[in-house]
Amino acid sequence: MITRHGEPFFIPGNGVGLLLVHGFVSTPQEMRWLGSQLSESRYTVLGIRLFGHASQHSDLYRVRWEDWLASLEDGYHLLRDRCERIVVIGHSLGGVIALIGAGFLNFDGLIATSTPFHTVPYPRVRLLGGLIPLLRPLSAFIRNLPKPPALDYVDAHAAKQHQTYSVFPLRALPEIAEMFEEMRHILPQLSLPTLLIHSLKDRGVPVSNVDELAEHFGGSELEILKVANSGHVIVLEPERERVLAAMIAFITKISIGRSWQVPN
Amino acid sequence: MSPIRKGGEPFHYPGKSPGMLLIHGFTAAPQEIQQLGSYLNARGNAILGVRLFAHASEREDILRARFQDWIASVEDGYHLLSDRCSSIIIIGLSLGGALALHAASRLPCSAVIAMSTPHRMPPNPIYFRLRPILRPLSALIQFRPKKFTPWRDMQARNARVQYDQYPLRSLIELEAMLNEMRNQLPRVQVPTLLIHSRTDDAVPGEHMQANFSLIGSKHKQLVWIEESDHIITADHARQEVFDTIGQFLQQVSE
Repeated sequence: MITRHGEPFFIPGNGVGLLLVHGFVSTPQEMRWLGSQLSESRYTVLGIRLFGHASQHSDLYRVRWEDWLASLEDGYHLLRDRCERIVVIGHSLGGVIALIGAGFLNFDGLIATSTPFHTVPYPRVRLLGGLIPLLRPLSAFIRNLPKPPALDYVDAHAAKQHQTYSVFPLRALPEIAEMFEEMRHILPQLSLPTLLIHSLKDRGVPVSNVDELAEHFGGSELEILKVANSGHVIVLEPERERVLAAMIAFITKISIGRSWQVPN
Repeated sequence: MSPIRKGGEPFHYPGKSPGMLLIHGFTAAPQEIQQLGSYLNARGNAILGVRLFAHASEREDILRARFQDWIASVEDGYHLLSDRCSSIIIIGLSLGGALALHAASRLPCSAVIAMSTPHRMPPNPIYFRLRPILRPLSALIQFRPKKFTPWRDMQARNARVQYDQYPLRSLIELEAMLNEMRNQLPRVQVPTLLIHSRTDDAVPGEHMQANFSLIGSKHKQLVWIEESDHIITADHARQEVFDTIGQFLQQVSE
């Protein structure tokens, strides 16, 4: 059963659909502020729930990374039945899922915030990087890793509001590792208009990750925005207004550049 | 790369309230309820057909599914639909019918329709004999071929999107879901329609009567269909099923 306030959301609007993808151990609620703001610009908005999220953390003991791609694809089809253009917006692991999805789904644009390039960006967990092949058997004995209470929030209120599991289920980490390999494989083949947003102060996923994403990205229509005063969960932090404005400017720009004809 | 099979995609048609939430059956796909979705959408209603977790992807995926995942898939669809429709009607086939009745006992809605819905595990003697050891057994034998089902409309049968074998481990989940449903039936208080085929080869008609008698609603009816096998939304008499649903919706809206 889905936790209260962790439900996926849908806001009808015009023929441009925005598919919002939350991050690891988080919930659709993470993207809700952004979604409701974007809908004020008349876009159709759908915030998906990734499999195993917003229920109980033990559901992630059973996850395979393809399940998350299937969650993305579900959302894509639910939007596609109503929208001619679709822009995907992913945060953190949601950005990784969006990038891989762009390899087989027909997105018109992509926005990724605080998205990692390296497998295990969290310093606390990085030690385990070399142990990834062992994590699958190990996860039968050690189910969860402790998660730092609040990673690096600038805004204490945002930290309080952010709904997440309180642990990292160990079994999900090798899935993430495989998913990153897939993303790094697919990045050079992508050419859709893309905007990457990252905070210099991100301590969960250091800002060097965005430079590496940019370096491996295949297309030429790439924009990068770096903000200075936010933690990892940039979509809830003090600069979220600026992040929102950059997203709207980006979507407007590609819609004009490609002369999208979308019915209201 | 695409994890979802062709024909396995969920669907979402714009329209007015009440929104109709459509739920497919065990090892099947949204495809089996898609025609019903189009029919109801033509009446002007918003439609959302969910894909249940681990369906219409890789067959092995379903071995990891627990019945709570399917309840969550239904909730996902419910929330997406209720964000824009003030009233919801929940409709399901077979396992989807069990999920629909279960959802109708817990979530605000204005009516529920369950088709070809089992009351408990269908009376397969082999299943009941193996049941005590099914969990360990399912680690050794993951899948069993489905037996041939006598559809009236072979063209519809061939167009079907489904796993071609039964996942043994998932039968335990199916049974658990039916237990949950039975417990909740007295709490179903909204207008209810049950539809079943007299010639259903997979789930005999007694199951509908057993569900019917436990449902708490005062406004409940059951309708028999002829000339169809279990998948009554796709087999020969589907138009009769759609029209029955249309009439019921007309009644509840009055």
